[in-house]
Amino acid sequence: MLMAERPYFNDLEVPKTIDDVVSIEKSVKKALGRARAATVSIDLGDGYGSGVIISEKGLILTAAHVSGGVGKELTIIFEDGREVQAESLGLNSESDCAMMKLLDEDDEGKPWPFVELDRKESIRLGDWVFSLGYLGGFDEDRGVVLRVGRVTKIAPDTIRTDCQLLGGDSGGPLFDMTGRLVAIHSRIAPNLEGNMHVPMNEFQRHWEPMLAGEFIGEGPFAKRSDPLIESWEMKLIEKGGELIVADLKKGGVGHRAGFEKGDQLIEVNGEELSGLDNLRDMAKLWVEEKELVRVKVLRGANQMLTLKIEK
Amino acid sequence: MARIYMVLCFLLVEILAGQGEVVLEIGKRLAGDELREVFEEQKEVLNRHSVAIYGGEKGRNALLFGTVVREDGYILTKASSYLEIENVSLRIGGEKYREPVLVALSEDWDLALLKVEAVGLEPVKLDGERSLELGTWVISNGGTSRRERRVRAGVISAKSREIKSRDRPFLGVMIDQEGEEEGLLLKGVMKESGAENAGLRKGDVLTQVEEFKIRDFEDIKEALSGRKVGAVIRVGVLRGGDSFEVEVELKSRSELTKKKEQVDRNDVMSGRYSERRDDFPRVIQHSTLMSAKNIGGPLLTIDGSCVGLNIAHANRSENYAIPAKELKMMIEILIEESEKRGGDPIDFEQRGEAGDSRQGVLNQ
Repeated sequence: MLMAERPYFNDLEVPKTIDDVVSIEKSVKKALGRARAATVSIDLGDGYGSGVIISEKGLILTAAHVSGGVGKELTIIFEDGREVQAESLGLNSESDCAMMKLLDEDDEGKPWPFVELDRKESIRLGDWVFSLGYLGGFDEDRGVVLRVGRVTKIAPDTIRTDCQLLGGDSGGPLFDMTGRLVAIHSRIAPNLEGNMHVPMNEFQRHWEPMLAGEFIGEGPFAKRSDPLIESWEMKLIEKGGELIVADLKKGGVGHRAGFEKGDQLIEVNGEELSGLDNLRDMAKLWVEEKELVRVKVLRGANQMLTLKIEK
Repeated sequence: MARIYMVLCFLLVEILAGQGEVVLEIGKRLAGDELREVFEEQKEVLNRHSVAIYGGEKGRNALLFGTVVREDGYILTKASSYLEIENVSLRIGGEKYREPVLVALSEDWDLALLKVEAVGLEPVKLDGERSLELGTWVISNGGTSRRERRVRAGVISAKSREIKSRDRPFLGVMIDQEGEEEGLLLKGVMKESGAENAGLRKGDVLTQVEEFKIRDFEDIKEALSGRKVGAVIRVGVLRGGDSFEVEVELKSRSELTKKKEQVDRNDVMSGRYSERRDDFPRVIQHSTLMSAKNIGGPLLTIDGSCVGLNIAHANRSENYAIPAKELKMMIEILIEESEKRGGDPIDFEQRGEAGDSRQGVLNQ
């Protein structure tokens, strides 16, 4: 059945007649309506990306560098300008895969518009594909931007095409000529044909953990947020076995507690610190117990103080 | 360890790529010469109607294209790019035209009308009625040789619309974010700004802009939103105990700061984009692999109709064309304007002195 679906022009080295070219156009136009309805712009507050809905309950695939973290609230914008709320689920920070879901499981009683996935990796080198996305951010007058091209390279975790991508396209969908989702836009190289997309098999490899909200890998496409440093609003670094305040937000929690740049952290709640990991482990307890944290710090050569951080 | 593994993977792919197994040959890609062969008929049409514009230090570089709009030698091209070119000569088919005369300009559309001594040229067949759905194939100028133009195929990629100016109008005042009870204190005025020309100075308090009461920075933003560069607005001022009103001309940010438009990350990834890529009354958008040098020629459908004229390569993924309907109107207007003046060349330095507010756009 899959073979029957495969358009004949994918198996031509290049289109031979203008009828072949017209067939490509017809396929794009036929698949475009549904593809377009499911493609969304993602407003991150301090930036923008794209995504695509893949289930009637509003599951969204996007790029890890768009989502940026787990459990974040985001605004999704449809092509007609309608805004709905979503939450980020898990991500794979090594391959640039991420999931999100719309907070409402249906669209006022109706299913969300969605597209089918290419689950069998049926995409081949030279296949014709089309790309959608909100490059440069959402623009209601312009709407979504279409590009048509060919698969120019297939590597284990990346597909390359000559559909020119640009910032804001990230997380948007790449479709085959029947309108199935084959990959998600990830990154570009400066040459016009260097457009990289993450194929569906890469998403399927970690499907369940991502759905469950897991943060997979150590980057480079997303960095784990550090709840401790976020809540203290200070940047801590480990230098020669010492834990030092490298920077702190003016008026932030750490600053108000009396910390200064250059302070060395010695003890927390009477327990001696052995490093950043050790501090993070301890921090997990405070988050749960909500107690007052007392930190002994060394300032300069010989000034020892105890600072209190209110929860 | 993981890192080493990734590097090895990468090398392996590159080696395979060298054998042509994992990478699609360049000729078979969208901008490739093998794929181009299917558009042989379209190439013939493009050759008849498009003009290669050569220039540069020795006059040998293909820098822009043009579109034939009348058989007796009228050609349209992108004005702001054209006016930058030195040692201009044109090629239509294999024929060379040495001294094109600039006979009319449209600042709104960034169009220049050129005239060469010629007979029997073939003007484009404009079709302004065609519905251009997303996904429709369109043909633009690709590369060129001295003898013939090559095609580059792409698709209609977004809705037709106005491209608003990115250049925001400015009063030319320096202020704090937060104001006082009675208004916003001026910390200074910018040189040659509308505010300076209106006599505003440091220490004045801004109380009103048109119908908007001014209490903080956001109020000014709101009061100026939707207004155009060159507009004159009423501003309420408090100085000492006196309250009075002045008229202030809004100037553009680039004019005041003498800086070029800010370049963002997307621009860095876009290669050579057109200098003027905003402030068009209406455009068709298409995605075709091209650069600023491919602009100025016709935008054709695969049946050879001209649906537009390529006017800007906005970025890596977005190109704009003036729609055929508007183009038709502009051809008539510009030719009439030129004939009224007896076909004399335009001297745009004079235009500048006459106080043309859009002078900067023409890079003069």
